[in-house]
Amino acid sequence: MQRVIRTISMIFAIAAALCVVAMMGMTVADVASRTITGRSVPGAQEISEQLVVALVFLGMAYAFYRREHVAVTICTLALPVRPRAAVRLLGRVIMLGLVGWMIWMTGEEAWRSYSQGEFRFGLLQLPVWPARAAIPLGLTAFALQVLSDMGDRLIDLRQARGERTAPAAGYF
Amino acid sequence: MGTELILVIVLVTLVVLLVIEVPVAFCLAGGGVLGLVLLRGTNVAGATLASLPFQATSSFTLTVVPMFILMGMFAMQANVAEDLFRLTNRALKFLRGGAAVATIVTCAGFAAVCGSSVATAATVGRLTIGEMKRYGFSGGFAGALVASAGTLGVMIPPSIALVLFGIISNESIGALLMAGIIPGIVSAVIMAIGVLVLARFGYGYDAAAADRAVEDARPGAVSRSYGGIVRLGILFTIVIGGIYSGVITATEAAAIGAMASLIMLLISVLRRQLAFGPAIREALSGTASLTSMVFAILVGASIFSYFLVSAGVPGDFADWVLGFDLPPSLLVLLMLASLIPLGMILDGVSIQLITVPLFYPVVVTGLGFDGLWYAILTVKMIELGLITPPVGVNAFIVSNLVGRGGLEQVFRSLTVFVVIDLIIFAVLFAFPGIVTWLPAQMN
Repeated sequence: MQRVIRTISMIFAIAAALCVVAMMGMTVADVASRTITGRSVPGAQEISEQLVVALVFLGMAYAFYRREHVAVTICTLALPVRPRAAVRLLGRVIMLGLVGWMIWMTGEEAWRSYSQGEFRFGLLQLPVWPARAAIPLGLTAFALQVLSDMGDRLIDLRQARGERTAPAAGYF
Repeated sequence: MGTELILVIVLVTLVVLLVIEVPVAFCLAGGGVLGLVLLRGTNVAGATLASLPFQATSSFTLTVVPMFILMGMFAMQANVAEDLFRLTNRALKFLRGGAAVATIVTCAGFAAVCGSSVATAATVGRLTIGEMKRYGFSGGFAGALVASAGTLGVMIPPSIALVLFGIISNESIGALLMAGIIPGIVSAVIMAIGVLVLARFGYGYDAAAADRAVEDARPGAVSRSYGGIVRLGILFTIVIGGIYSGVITATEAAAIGAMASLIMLLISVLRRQLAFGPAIREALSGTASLTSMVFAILVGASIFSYFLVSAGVPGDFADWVLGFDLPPSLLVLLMLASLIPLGMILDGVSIQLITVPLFYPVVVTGLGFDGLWYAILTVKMIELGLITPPVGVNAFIVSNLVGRGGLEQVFRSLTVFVVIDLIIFAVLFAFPGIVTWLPAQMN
């Protein structure tokens, strides 16, 4: 099961990486076209805008898998192994509740956008629903990754095992 | 329920969530949602959750962040810093502590293509810590120097920190990036002077070992490739030259910079210096997950900020601060000082996203200070958090390179670098022209 979840996270991460490449390619093409022909590539900015949304949410599960999401660990690391696992589990349960609510609300919003044919005002009349749908999709993969991690923390709790990898403490 | 009580409940919830290791992004989102439920009811909170994740991220300006991260990732893979260190280290061999100055120059050079101090410290540390140890520096001192000089990564453009400041405050991102150049160079110069003075007094430095290493070095054996320096120069010219001239926007400059660094990576692959698959995979997956992490905090912080604005906190905070009968400079200093304890718990992205919406209106709109100057000082304060315990991300990164017991040694040696950083802060605080001059010359 954990392998399946990891695969989903990775597929979404690849999709997110493709968003990055597309964004880069389109922006460079836009500048090149403006310099050479004096005209912009139609819709380049609007598409990039939608790609950022997809990139952020599709990459979220893989970032959790890589322990990239910044968290404060000074307090939990000061605890003995079992209470640490228990506290971590509690934190993840609360987080899952919040993420669940977000999935529900953003899912409804994506459906509304699709059924009403919402589009981004601009040259291309770009539909918005794919970007909106990426939010609940990415968050669902994230929730699955959190659940998978909770399985590991449960083993920590049962076997009094200390976790080796700690979450990141920042990027700047 | 009164607004004050709700605010207290939200802050307590935020702290509890942080303490139980919930990722910061979700602590902020959770605190904000709880506040909105208490203040406005479940419907408003639900509607906020439905719309804000999209609203907060669907912006063309944001694309500059993944582009700069990607550029840094490609630069890390393409070994651009190596030649710079080799060249400066050789040129400064006659100087007592020259290897340390070469390390600072390499950090500044790498910072010119990478927007993250953690990545700068990790990349430059791998190259220079061993070499500095060979030239007479203690492991702790060498690590501390890299951790400290690595913070130039967020000062010298491209800088993710300055870009985020622009996104939150609506200051021009191009001007902010320009504003970081001279403070970055001034920081590097003050740091280099500090290191040379310390070496002269033998602090963390063994002159006899250094002399032996200089004698052992055979000049004939070293390679004379300057490709890395040329590549650094090209990338810096594209990004900074592009923004400075006003021909392209910061976002476009970032995308072109990323594309150029990708081409450089491909050239390294063609010359068989690098394997294509792993390099590109690591750069792209790293960029996707780091961008996602940074923007997850942005989404969380915008939910939290929406609650704060709904509760009228920014206005009340501004009235409260401006109500003190204190000189404006002292007020700014106190607000900046409050970032130090925050830096002991939180990471730089979160600190900015929480404090800038509260402090910026007071400092710039209320007290009339320059926004760019305030941005640079905020980044400088956040840099301090990167090298001070308990979080001190940079110290953790380099400690692995120093060896056994590295962290303790690094933190001990970092004390003196914190003092140097405070001197730099004082200089920037006292002379705003260092920050504002270059952006004023822009087209």
